[in-house]
Amino acid sequence: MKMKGVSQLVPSKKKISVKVNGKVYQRNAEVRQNLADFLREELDLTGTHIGCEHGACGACTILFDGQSVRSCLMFAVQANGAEITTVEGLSQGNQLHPLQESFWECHALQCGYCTPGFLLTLVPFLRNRPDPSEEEIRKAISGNLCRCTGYQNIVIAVLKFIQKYKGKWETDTSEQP
Amino acid sequence: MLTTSYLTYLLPTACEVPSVHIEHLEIPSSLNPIGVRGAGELGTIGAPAAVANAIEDVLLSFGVRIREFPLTQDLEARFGCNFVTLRHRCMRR
Repeated sequence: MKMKGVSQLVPSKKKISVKVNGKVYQRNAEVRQNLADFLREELDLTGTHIGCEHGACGACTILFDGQSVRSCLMFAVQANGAEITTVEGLSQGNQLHPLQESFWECHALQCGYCTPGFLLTLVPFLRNRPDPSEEEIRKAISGNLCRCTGYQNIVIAVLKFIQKYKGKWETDTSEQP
Repeated sequence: MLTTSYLTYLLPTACEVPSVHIEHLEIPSSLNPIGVRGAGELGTIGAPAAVANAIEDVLLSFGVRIREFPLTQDLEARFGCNFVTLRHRCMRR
């Protein structure tokens, strides 16, 4: 009897349908491709950055059904049927998301590599806790590494954002997030 | 090697880094007429962006946003302003 090779037993590609930033994409995803690579390489959404590829730096953070997740720790096929927001989905064309605006005003980024991860960690955090203390903010972003800012201006940006919007930023932008 | 990944090489996070107040301490060099000092090994990424930002600043009222290099002389045509105005603005500063 002839044995089947592993490649014949396991399909190397799987058709998935995923809604990213409000748009539905259908792609044949390589089963071992992680979600971060899928977003960048298959969907050309290169705003999601890849730092450590093992969930320690937070650069690849995205919103997965409204929650912050590290897209390098998921397979693309796991996203089948999910709703994803990447940093590209935060702004409306040239109109920055209020939190991005605050980052910009407070010089909360330098090289910008970690910024998408910080933003997408902070958006659901601020949705759940509209008025956090500085300590709570620091804890919330403790899973994101930044080597330029020393985190100080990121914290200042969040504090300014809170001061300015007082939890009302969601009603300003009717669309998610 | 004991620190082969970010899980073992512990980078400071927002919880560890203290708030820092930055002050500039200026000690001009006596070795050249304008007192400048070398700052070795800097990357070249920042310089073009700084020039672009300076030009954006000068042309603030025209709403010019520079997103591409090189900045050639067709700047005028690209952004619909003229260099005479530009020069006057520069001189006023």
